[in-house]
Amino acid sequence: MHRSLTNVVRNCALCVLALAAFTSPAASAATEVRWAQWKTTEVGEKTMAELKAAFEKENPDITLTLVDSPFTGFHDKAVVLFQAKKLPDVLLVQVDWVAEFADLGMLEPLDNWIAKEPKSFMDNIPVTFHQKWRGKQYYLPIESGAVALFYNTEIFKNAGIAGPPKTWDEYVEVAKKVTNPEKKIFATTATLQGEPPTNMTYDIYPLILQAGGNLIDEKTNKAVFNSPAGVKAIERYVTLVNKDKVAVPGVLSNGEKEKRANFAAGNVAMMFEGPWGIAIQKQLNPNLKYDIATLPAGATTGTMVRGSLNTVTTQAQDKEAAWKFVRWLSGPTGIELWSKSTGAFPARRDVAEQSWFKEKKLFQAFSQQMQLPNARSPFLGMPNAVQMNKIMTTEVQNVVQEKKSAKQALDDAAAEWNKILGATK
Amino acid sequence: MEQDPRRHEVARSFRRRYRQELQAYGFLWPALLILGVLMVYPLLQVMRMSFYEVTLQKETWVGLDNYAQLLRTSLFWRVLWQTILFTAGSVSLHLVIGLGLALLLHAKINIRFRNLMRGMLIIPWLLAPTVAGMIWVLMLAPFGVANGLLISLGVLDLSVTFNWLGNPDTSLLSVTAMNVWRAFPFFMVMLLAGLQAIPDELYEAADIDGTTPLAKFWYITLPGLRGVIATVVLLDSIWTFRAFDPVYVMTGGGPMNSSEVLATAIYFDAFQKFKFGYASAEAMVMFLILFVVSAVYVRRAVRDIG
Repeated sequence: MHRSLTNVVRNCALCVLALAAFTSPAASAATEVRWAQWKTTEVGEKTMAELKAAFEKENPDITLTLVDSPFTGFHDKAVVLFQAKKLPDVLLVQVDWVAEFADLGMLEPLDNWIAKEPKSFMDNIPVTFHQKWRGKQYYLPIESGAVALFYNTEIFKNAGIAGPPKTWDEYVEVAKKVTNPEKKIFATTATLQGEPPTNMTYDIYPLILQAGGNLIDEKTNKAVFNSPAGVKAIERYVTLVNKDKVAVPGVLSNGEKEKRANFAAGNVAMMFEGPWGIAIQKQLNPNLKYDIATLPAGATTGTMVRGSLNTVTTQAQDKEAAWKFVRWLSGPTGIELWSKSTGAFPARRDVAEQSWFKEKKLFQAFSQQMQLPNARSPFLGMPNAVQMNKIMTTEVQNVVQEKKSAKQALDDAAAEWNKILGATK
Repeated sequence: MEQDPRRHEVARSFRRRYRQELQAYGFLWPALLILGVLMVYPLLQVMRMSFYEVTLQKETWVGLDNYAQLLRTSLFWRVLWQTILFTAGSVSLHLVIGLGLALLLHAKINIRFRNLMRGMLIIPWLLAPTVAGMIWVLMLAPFGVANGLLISLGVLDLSVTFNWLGNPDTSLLSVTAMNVWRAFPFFMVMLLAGLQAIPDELYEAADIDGTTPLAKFWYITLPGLRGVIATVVLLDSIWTFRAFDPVYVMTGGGPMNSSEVLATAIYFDAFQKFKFGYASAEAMVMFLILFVVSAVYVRRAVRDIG
């Protein structure tokens, strides 16, 4: 009896101590910042733990909590969390989600905080990521990448071609020279798969920019790709596929997976791809001999830029602390650490110019491409990028199938885009 | 205050009379509750949403506008027609192939061989629709097995690489072919069980009368299988009409919506275009069609039990 009474008293004392510990000023002094992202599953827990330790060392008043969720379903989960008013403080997003999430009221504008930073802070972030949505900056990049030209050096050597094509005309010349259907060697894998409609990034939008066109007029917020330049770009693409027959058969059902597999198999001479493709090719065929160059220019240069971006949410508990983390990870220290540990292309010029990154030869074409005119990310101005990409894919499919002229297809696509652009507030 | 003794008596007599029923409902209520939460509530929600314009931020009452828009949209009618073609093609070929194989397996041949064939032919039915879809995507690729086979048979020229899934004229046909291949074993197994239930005496009597094999099939086998055929055709029609995975995995509804069916259209309208009200109206149309088919099936089932 005496013993059990002692146990009860002891347990009560432990409970009181535990409660005191959880509510003591010392324990609550560190502010928690919850970072929702999909990177832990991609880069591993060790890398993320190192990042967390580095941030907390520099910011001892903040505890960084990693809220990991796989990329598949991440977008939908974020929307559901917002509806439930449980959105974490910092949310990692893709370029395609910024406008949509901002319109839903999920994101906090960063302009007031950015204005307090030294000019060099934003100057070192590629100009593509200065693009605002409805006049406000909602994000900062943690990694980026432009689409460039991967080319198989073996196929080029066997065909007696000295180097990568620099212009559209050279590209056509090279494409015809390397294509040999009997040996199942083609110049390119044209990818117009409708679902998922991700291929516009590689196949169509860069061409429109290179022809001197644009996708959306930022001032009027209207689709403008149905210009003579846009028509020229689509006609050129369809000529390569239908007349010159330099693309792997199956254009309307080929997607990114097929494109990468064909290039890795050594059957395709050229591929439009971002820096993330280097790791993919290494995995698919480590012995493949290839190099990377900037995209061939038409009337001008042009490419698509994608990236992973950090945002402060409107439901953040401590927005100042959340901004501190966003600022740190997109600053020189954070970007350098992130790029070194994950192999991602750095989203800052001052980091991309450091000697350790300059030694990575394959990545240099992307640096050059980012500095050429028209390295853009129109997705940042698309309120429903997935749907808009799908509309464009279907219309270009119509041109390839000769059911519509390039002009008619682009006019129809523009009308659909304008409905979406006009429907949002 | 005094209570009426006659009312107590009526209540007691009601309880006595319906004791068994009340007990049965007592045991049933957890299942009914789960059914209500998981099926009836979502159904009512979809029905309600079909009368609203629904975005993630707000809901606006629009009455029958979503339905009117649906009827005006040519793509909806095209998708509905493609769904009917996909269902009719799949179910009729399931029946023809399933019946043919069931008749072969029912023939008096080597038992070991017959059992081996029964086991092997059921394999497609064991595969998940997504797995079966991916296998067919690889087979139907321009440099895949299907084209290789056609080239070796001389049907296709060596220089021609036909794109089955990327051609608007053959995409729906290709998805239907995969669906036929995957689900014919269900018909085969059910019809084989039906064949085994037909008494041998009928065939023996027909043999004595000198009946031809075709007449035996027409006057004995088919009438004997009528009940099984009706059941499997109704069930398969319901399953195929609402099929999502084969189309999503193989073509995503493309190219140019040429293989789009109702289930994929509803998904894309809701989760890509965020037109939840319009997608709900589409879902209600699908529900009504399936409800009619299900009603026929339930009526048959109840009549059989009776």
